Amino acid sequence: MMKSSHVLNQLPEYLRGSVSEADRSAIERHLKACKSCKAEYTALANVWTEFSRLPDERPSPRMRQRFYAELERRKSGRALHSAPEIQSSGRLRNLLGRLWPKQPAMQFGIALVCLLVGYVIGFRIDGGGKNSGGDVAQLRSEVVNMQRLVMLSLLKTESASERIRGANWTERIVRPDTEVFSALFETVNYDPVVNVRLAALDALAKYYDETEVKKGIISSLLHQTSPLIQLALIQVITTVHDSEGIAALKELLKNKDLNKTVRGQVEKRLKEMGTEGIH
Amino acid sequence: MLQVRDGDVAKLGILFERHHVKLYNFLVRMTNRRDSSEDLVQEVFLRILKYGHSYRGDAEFVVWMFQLARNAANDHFRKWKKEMPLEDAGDMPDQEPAPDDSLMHHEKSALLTKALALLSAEKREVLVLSRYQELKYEEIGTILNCPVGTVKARVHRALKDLRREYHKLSQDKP
Repeated sequence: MMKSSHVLNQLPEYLRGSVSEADRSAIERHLKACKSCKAEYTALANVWTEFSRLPDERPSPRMRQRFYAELERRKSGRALHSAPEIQSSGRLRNLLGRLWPKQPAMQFGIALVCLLVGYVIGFRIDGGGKNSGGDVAQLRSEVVNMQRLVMLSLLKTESASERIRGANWTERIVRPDTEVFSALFETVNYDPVVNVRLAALDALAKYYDETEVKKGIISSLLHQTSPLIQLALIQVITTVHDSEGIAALKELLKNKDLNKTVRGQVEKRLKEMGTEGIH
Repeated sequence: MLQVRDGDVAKLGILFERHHVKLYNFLVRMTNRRDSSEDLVQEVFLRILKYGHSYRGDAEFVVWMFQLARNAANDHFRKWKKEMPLEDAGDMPDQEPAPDDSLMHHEKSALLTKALALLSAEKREVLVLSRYQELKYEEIGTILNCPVGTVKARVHRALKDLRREYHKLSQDKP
């Protein structure tokens, strides 16, 4: 009985043919000797054979299509929404997904930065540290240059939010140059979306003490028609008490079509600055 | 496989091609529903992608995949328990017989499929898993989270039950 039950539990594996050679011959010897095990074996073998011959079910072609469609979505990084039970890795991936820019111009910019960083690092390794200080400086300047390019390309994208990002990107540029400033002024003066213009103006405001920026802002004030932008420009101009700014505000008041609120604001500011600006 | 772990979704396609039929069949046998099984296969592969980091090496992949499939099937059961009694064989009409199949064999397969559906989920899963030659009993033990001895005993009992149900069904048939 003990022997018999021992073999019975081994029968499924034996039927699968997945027992060792030694076990197999032991089981076969036992089956010859034990009638009840032999009977059990014969019955199980029948079902097993039938069972292992069960044809595989074929999934519909739709399943494959759905799978590959989903895979495509994941590849382009758009399907990160379908995971409500996000684990920490999912959260990290979500974060990366959000940070990773969707705009080709931005992606191109980042690719350029990576390429350049790789190139400079490779160059450094190759150069063997003969001039490592110089190389680091060069690397730094190249990165700055790339950031500038990224910003400029962002400002030219179709999407308003990307252009706002482009304007904000200015903060990363250590020393913006004329090209950066003129791109920002172009945005302040001509961008169709007020919010983008305001973001560009914000970026410029930090450099108001630069002569070319000051000149640009003052000239922009006299040509703007949007009250919102005018108010923002006035805000920037009046942070510094200087004659150029005051002259520009007085000039603005000559405009007969000037928005009432704007006019009121200009007069108030001029008074605060101790200047009688009315007429 | 390492590429999937590193998030390269394209490599998931290779795994899909290699394993989806097996996985689908496991799920069809477990849920008795073809439509849900297709959804579940998709779900399992997305989980493979999502939890790729918890996967440790190539030999363990199939084991891990079936563990995920088992969890997915359990989730499915929890969701559908009330709506679909297990005895109701879901949306499982007989598949068209292959042209070269003898009618006899087709009938036998259909009966056996029915008999299998009548077993408890525990017995069904151990039988379906043991059908795949590539899975060792140790690996089935890992999938089911039980010792090898238990797997052996369970397969044996399940096979006996299958035989009994099959026998009953063939007796009932006119």
